Amino acid sequence: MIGYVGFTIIVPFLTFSWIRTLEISGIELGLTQQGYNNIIFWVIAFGLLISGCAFFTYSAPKQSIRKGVFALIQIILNCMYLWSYKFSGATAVEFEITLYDGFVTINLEQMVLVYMGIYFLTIAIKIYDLVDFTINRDKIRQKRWGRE
Amino acid sequence: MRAARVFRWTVRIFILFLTGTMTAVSVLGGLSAVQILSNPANIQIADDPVVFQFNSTQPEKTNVSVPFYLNNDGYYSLNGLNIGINITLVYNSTSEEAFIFRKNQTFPDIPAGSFLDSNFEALNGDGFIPGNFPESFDDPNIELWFNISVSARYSLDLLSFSVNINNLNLWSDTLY
Repeated sequence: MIGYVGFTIIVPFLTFSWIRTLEISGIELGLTQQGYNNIIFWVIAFGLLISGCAFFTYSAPKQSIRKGVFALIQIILNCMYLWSYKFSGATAVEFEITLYDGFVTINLEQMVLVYMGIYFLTIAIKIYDLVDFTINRDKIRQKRWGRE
Repeated sequence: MRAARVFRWTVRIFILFLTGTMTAVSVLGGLSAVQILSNPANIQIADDPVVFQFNSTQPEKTNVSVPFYLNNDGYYSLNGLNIGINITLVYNSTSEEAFIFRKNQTFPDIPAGSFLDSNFEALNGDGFIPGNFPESFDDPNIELWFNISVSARYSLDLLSFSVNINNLNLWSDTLY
């Protein structure tokens, strides 16, 4: 869970805070205040949900339906977290050029979409796990409690 | 259960491979950006003179040439480099505006570890709109404003960036 808090909240927060003001080749670039606030809001909101879900996923018994359900919810939240980068404006990070009337835009949409593709596969395997845990519930319980 | 376990592990290893690959691409892309941008020598307007020759009576003798140097010090090829320049003529007395030049130029891809020493060129009236030319470019009543855009793709084309500078007056603004 601490890992999820680190990767979904702390690392993005520090990264966006660090790039809020950049200096490249003597030219100062600044992330717009509104853009920064939007990004940080969505990153922290979904980061907290994912971290909370991770607690229930990892505290549930192995191969249990509860674990499968929370793992699936967690992955869907991960997708929404990634997608939040898109609708918070973080996939097209815009920096103002302080010295001139201008801006720099970095578009990460393709990268986010590839990650979404990978998460789609992860969702597929989590659904498969959930179905498997449900169908083989008795066998799993017998194995867990050491009964044949 | 055994077949299910084999299937699950096969898919998991595949997903792990994809996630690892993407993470490596992201990290190397970030490192590349730091390597390229941390050294000012990697992006330069070259020492050759920047040419802006305007001729209102003979538009075919109007030329723009901006030499530049780009060193791709990163891990991936820089693709689709495109530079665009628009020049707007502004009459100070009436605040009337007219485009007199508009051109986009695409440059070859710059593979990792190599450089591009090239020119943004519009020679012999190329890209100019002579119909909007003033009677004389020496008229103190006019100003020329430049809009400059640079765009390219990086990290296996997974990210793209663009730089836009608007309303730059080359005669009064200092460009780094």
